[in-house]
Amino acid sequence: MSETGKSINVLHYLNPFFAGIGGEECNDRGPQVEPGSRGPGRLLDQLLETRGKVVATLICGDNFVTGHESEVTAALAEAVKEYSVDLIIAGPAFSAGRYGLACGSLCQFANEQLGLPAVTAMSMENPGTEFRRKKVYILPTGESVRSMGEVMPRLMRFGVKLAQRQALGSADVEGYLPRGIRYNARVGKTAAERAVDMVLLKVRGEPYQTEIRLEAQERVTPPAPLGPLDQAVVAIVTEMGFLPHGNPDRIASSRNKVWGRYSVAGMNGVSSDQFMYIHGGYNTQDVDQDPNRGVPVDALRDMEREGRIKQLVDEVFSTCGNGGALTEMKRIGQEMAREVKRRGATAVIIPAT
Amino acid sequence: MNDLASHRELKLEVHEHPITEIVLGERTVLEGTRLTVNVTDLKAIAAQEDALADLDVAVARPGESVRIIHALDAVEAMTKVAGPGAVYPGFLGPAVTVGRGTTKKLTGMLVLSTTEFPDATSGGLGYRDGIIDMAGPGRPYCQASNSINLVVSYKPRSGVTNQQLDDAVRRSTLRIAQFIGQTSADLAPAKTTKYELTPVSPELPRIVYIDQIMSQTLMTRTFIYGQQLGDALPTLIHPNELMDGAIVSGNYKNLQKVATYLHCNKPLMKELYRRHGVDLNFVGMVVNRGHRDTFDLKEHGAQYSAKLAKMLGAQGAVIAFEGGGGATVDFMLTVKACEQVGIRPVAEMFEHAAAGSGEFPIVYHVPAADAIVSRGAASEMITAQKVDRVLGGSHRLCLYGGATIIEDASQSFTVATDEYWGVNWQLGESGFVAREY
Repeated sequence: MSETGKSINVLHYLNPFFAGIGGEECNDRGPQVEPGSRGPGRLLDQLLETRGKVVATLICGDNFVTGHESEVTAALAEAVKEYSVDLIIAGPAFSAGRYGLACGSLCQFANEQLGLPAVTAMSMENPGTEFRRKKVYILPTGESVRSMGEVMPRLMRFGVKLAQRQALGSADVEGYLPRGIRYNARVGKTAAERAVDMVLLKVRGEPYQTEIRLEAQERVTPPAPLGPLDQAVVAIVTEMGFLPHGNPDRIASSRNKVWGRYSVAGMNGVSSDQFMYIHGGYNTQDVDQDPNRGVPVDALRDMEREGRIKQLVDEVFSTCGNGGALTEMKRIGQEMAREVKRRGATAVIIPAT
Repeated sequence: MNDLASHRELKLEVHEHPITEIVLGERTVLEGTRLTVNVTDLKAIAAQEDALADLDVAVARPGESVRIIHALDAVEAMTKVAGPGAVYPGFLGPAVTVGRGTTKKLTGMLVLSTTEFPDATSGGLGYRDGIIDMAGPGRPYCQASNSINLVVSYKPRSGVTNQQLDDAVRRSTLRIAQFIGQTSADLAPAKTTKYELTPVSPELPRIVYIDQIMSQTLMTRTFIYGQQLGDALPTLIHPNELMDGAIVSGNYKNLQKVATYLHCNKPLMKELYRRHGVDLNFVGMVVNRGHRDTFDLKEHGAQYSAKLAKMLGAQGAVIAFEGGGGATVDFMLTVKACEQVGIRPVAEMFEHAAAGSGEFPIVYHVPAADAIVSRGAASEMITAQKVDRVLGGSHRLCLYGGATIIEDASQSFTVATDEYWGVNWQLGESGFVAREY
């Protein structure tokens, strides 16, 4: 039953192979909607019992989805309307990569554009698992299609929970791939107690479960080397909290979310009459006294005059990075980079603390 | 390695005198579990400091509709009645090694100091306020909310500098804490515990506690035996020394800080002691300073800490830290250094990212940090309730390091849990964890 007690109308998404239409040769086929269930959808239908029914199956070739997404999502939206769909179940895709990506993409569309609950399943190595970063619910499976009999009941139960808008526990508890969203809970043991428990497991060589999963940090490709310095147009970008007296952009000393751009046009250096620093992480006395100690405008002007650099961009791009949330700082960096580029800079100097 | 001479020597008996009520009255005396405090006695102690003009005293009890702001420190009322040295050595007496003999502690209460600094300096030199709510949704997020607090609010003499005031408040508060502790001197304790790192079965896993402390500059100082940690190399310390107040806080980065009472009762230290001889061998402690100024210095501290841990014979390490983003680097390098010398590390830490934000929770990590205990995520928004009383001085509260001013802290306001006093540590004590959805 759905939240209102009525039977849940499920739309099942399959590729042609699983739908029993054909193999790889069918992977360029466009979307088609069939009433009722196909292939493993029949098992899904059986498992649903009185809770719901697979009212339609959307079938589309894996290759087609890439490059024709809007056609496929349009077909999905149509089918949802026509069959009064309450829930999307996609796959399971196991280790089929393009299929997994298609499943993830359609579930994201269903969540974000149609406001519909959706769930899919695939193996941990499937590239489609990246969609969990977009808050898509993905259940882990093994590699082999032979585990369908184990996976489908999990998919069905989870899908029903979603359709019934039941409160969901954490990823570990509910069995879906963690989506990177963390919430606090209070548990019976203090952190110290749990830490001592964990170190004993570790030292004894017994299995332990970390409370923060590590992930590979984003790899940033370094830009190409600078080339002749006397051709460089240099901009100063800083997180030191450099700003004019009065702090017009209200840059906060910690956990800050804004940035500013401050003109140094016509200045041979930056003066403490006009500028200061706000930052919760270091003692700003020395840079307040002589702001050039932080953002080296005076030195760069000298270099500009002497032809050692081509030009100093006449604005300083500034924020305060103390305790900065990663997403905010990333956004600020991207926004600054766009502007810096627009000013024609070919190099940046980043004084930081 | 459990046969260190210091381990045999440092036997401490702690007498506990639980306090269930504090009242202000004619004499300072402890009768059963009821402490009476004569404010004049405290004023006389404060008068020893030129920088202090006056003080007010109030009592705040757990569960009361009270908010305390402008807090500097919360300190255990205790006194040494046998054995060398004094409590809070280096401040209340010479830096004689403590952790021996007998110390009497008034439990269930703390002496809590507040003041308002005259120079509104910013940045690293700024005092950052934090909220202590004795009741309401904020209570689990702040240190000192589970004790009856004898709140001593100091008024500075005009013309003093922040440093003069800070030092004077610290000395005065430690003296007051000892003075209050002395009310138990002739009384029989309710409970006696012997703290000794006894020799135990060689089969028990040998665990070290590496404690990374924050000590940078004025407003973020921590002291060992009265001396600021500064750039000192990491060092060994015995848990009994902490219990006698060898580590004292002067850290006013109030979401990150460890109040002095918490240094005396470090949760990992207490837990390891509790299980010493039961399922582990607590081989001792290493103390290091975080926020070292360069990456090389951070590596220096980390490697040195791991070496000391290895000298203690540790097989496993529990590691915790006080500080912010930059200190996470020192911390994680210490985790890595332990792994490199064959000590299996467990990292115990708070999460930098806001709850529900979808951000990666910590700002720096190493592959060796595969066993992390999380105290929980930052920046949950809660609604602090209207309260009957605000203690600490003026009712004007600066939040988020000054970005938001609350003119009247007695009113209700919505605030991030980050603004609670000592939240990064208290989350762990209150049994929080963050889970992934």
